Amino acid sequence: VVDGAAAARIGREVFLLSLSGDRRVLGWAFPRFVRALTDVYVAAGESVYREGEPADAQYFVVSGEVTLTRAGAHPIRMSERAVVGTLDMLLERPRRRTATAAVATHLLRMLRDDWWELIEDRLDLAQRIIGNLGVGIHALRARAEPLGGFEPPPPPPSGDPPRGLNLIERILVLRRAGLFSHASIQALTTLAELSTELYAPSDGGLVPQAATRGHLVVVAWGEVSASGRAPAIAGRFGQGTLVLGGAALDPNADYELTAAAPTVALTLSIEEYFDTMEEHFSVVRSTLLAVAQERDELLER
Amino acid sequence: MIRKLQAAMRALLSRVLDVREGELLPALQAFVALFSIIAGHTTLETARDAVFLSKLPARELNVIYVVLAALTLVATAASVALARRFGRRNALVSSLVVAAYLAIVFYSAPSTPRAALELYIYSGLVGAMIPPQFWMLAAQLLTVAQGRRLFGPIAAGGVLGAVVGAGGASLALRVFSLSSLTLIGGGWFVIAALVLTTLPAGDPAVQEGAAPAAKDVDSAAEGTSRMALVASQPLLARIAGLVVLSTAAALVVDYQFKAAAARSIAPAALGQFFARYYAVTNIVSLLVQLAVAGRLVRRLGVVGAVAVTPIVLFLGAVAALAGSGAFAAVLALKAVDGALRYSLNRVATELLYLPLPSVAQSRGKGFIDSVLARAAQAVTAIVLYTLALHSRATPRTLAAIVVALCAGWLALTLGLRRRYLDLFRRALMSGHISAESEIQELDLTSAEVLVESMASPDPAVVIASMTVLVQHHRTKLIPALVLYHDEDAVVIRALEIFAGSDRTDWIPLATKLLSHPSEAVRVATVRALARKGRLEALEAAKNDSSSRVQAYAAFYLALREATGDLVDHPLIAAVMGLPEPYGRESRRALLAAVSDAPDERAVSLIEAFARRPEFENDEDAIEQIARAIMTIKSPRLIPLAVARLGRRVGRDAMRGALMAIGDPALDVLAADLADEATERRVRLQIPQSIAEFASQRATDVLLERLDHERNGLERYKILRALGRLVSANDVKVNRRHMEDGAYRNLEEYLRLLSFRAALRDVPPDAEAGDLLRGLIEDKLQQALARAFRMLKIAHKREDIHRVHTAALSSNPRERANASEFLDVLLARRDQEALRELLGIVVDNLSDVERVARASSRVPLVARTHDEALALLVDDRDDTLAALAAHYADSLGSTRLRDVVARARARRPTLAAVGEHLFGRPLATGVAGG
Repeated sequence: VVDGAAAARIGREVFLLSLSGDRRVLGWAFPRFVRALTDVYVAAGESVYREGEPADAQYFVVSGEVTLTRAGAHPIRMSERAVVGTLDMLLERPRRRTATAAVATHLLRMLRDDWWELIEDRLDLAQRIIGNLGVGIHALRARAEPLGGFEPPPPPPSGDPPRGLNLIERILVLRRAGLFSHASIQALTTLAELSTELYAPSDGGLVPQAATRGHLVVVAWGEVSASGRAPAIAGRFGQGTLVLGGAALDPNADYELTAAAPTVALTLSIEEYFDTMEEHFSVVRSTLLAVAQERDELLER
Repeated sequence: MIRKLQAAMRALLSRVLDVREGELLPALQAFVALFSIIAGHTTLETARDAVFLSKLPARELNVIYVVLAALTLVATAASVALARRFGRRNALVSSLVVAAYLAIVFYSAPSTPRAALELYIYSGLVGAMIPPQFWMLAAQLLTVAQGRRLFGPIAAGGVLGAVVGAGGASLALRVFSLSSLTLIGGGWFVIAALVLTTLPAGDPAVQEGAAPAAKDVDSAAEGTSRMALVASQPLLARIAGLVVLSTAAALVVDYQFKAAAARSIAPAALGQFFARYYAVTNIVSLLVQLAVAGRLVRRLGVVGAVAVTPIVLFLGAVAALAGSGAFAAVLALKAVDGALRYSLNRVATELLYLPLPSVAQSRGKGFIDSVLARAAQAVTAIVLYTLALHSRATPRTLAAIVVALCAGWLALTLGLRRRYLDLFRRALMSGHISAESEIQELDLTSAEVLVESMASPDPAVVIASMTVLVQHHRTKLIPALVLYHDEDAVVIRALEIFAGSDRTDWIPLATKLLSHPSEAVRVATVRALARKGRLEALEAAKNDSSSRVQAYAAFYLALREATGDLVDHPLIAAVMGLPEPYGRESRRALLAAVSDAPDERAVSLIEAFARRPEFENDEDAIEQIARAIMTIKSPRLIPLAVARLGRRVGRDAMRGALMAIGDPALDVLAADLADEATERRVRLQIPQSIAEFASQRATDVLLERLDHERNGLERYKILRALGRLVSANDVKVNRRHMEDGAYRNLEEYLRLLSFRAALRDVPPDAEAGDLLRGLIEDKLQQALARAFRMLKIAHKREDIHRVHTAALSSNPRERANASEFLDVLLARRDQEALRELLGIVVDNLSDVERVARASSRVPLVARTHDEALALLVDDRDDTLAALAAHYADSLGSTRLRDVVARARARRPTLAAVGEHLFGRPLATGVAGG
């Protein structure tokens, strides 16, 4: 029996498995992922979506090539295995660029609602995506200035740093950092309970081993300098910011941290942060939103 | 003053008629328009009936019905084309203007039998075309939810118009001639047209669902395509059946009534008789519309309300049959028909159309209301005419026909619910993940696709293709020659697959890989051959240059020699004692060997592996431990597997291992879930692990725990797991029990919503207040998610998740679809309370309106800011109560301070939680204000 729909489904299965590399990432949710994908065939020169349209889906390029264009911006070419339209979808904003097939292109479309539903069921995948976005942001930060580097911080506050933050104050500190700004209060409470307060006088080492590896550091008061080993980049981070921003989610990010002023910071292990995602999905949403935003800003530089 | 009056009027309308913000003006315009249309039509009807029966015999009516049917077809085609080209509103306005003009023409024409015939046809055409055009316009303007609330009041305008039209005709006849009624009718049409011009015209293309241009389709093809459209939509087909039978029944009742009137009333008195009779029946109809129709629709739902008219008419016809068609019985039957047809039945039938896609709605409704209804009228008229010609149209025979038609009509309403529900299912599911079986059979084309992918130059694609073949149980389609692939990763994956299959054709090729330059490939080859019992491979492995390969072989040697626990064997002990990092790879190989050839003597060894920190985050190692547990099935290993659930790495594999052990593992999981001392991160993973057992017992364990679990997050995890288990397996769950749970969660949702509404003006710089609001928001979302998950468990075949999404949508049409779907799904008597609460939650309302509606049903709803804080300070959630107390304290209100002080006195834990949050006793807040 010849059944084109079944064959198309098999094609989607092969593509998805080849994309994820490790079959365990999708696990039991694999069939649901396959069902959530729709084949889209676009002829050369036709648009996949246009600038200004609502971004209700993302597209996986199975074969062919898509060009993303916008007036006044350099075109971006996306080829096989690239994912197109994710940033707009995550940020829930109209399309920023027009996506046009450069040659006859086969794509797989996944709707935003289905995407979130599946991610919630499969946090391993969410964490892998977050890690990948972290790596991507780190690479963008590692570019030569002015494209790369970190934004300068505001001047550090004067006076004595408030030591011994209570739980509410910790929640408020975390809430100011982009990565957690959209997390639920319950999630922030858990993260605040798991966090450890660090204090360093001016020019003092901040973390015992003076490194970020495996940790997130949020500046509650003062200013922190970060100096990377590989890549060799440096940045300064002020009150209410996550040190390194989204690049801190790169599992290989390895920076030495020092206090540039009397500083109080909260630190949290990435392992515990990922564990919190299992209890509070809002942390996943908040993180994806923040890293998507940061990546977009870096790409727009 | 005027503003106050308007506000008071809006409040009154909102309370009595449920007219909401922004709906008043369009509803009023529609009401007045329909009022004028029906007033005009009733006035014309009075004139035409009196003129016709005074000039011609009643039998001739049947000829008129047939002519009318044929003319209606033409007129409707023109009306549809008009709507498609200029929009529904403009088409209706045009029809009214033409009708008004013709009324003037009839007024000035001489009163002859021919004119009587023409007047009847004109009036019939107006009745057949204009009201359906009006309802099409209303369906375009309103959603299903709005229709449910507003169609009743709007239809009341029609019934009131009928009363005024008939009453006015009766009064006019005292002063003016019969022909003046046509002029009055025309005047009403002009008023209706003027009112309608104030409504939005809309985009014709959008309204008609971008239907093909009329000029491209000839009328015959158009008729065929519309018939096909009706046939393709099960609900539309049912509606068509209902309309056909109800139209036929109405015609027979009408004929019966007019024939009886012609027999019993003097021709000169007919005008006054009809005017008075119509006035009385229309008043009854108005009362039904105002006092009964809305309530019945709300109480019985759309589908239930559709069945009321045929039931009552059926009973009336049976009474008429029993009374041999006596004049009084016929009057009563016609009165019943008149009272219900244009009130309850009209509203209920119009509501049935609303969930249909716009193309089906516009094209299908037009076709049913005009072509099919007129065809039914024509066929009925021919039957009646034939009966009359043969003197068989006796009152008794006519009553029997009505009984039969009503019985058929009633029968059609029985299957309506399922089709109505299906339509909402489709609307809600549109474009999303469909439910289909997890793994499908491979057909020839699919197999070809896979074989083609196996030849890909990209190793990831080759590996993916092999994995897909395994998932579809087609391992045999993987060629053994893939072992000669250039990429090590492909060869290793192929060996892994072959070793797990019952194939042997690959073994000769694999033996050659024992000398492969890659250590990883050699290890994989030894493993694959060992799993197939090829011990000669192990002999070769003993002499391999790689320590990994040697360590693997060591296990097999130990297995042959050991008499007791393997962990004590010198070879094994030596590998376990090797220093890092050299030793780690050897131990991984040893673990792989344990996993490939599990033995009961290896239990302690597995425990030793699980304890080693070097494997803590090693996914492959944990999977191998899990695989060994899965095969050995020793209850001693259950605690190890359960403890590993708390770690993300290898969790799925450990769940699989626990499932393989079976009931003893389920017992341990159930006990650990019930034990609040179980490590939290482990406990949170237990519900899903239990769900993997996919049995009735697993369901019962989760259900039992759901009722007793105190921790909100844990309850949510149980619910999620239960949801997955129930949706994918044939297990039993008490529907009412889950619906009761959903009800309680909706109550909680509405209670929290009252807090959100009351605290909406908390300034954003009041940090404690802001956090309090954030926490309320979290809990609101969770309560609603729990309620919908419970509904999903109670109704496993429905996609309640999609309904939940639609219920939160900002699109009023999506919300309306969700609301109507739930209303029809939860139609039982024991679901009434749940249905009402869901209506409040899903309907398109503001928070304040929802709270106002919920206040009579939900306990402890707050109406003011201070009331909300007083209730929150006493909330059972310690964090919420402590935050509320802190915020209340910071406001400086004496009353609130007293409330907080009393709460502290009653509840000592409040101070402790406050201290935990704020780092110091409550009243000395740092974050407030």
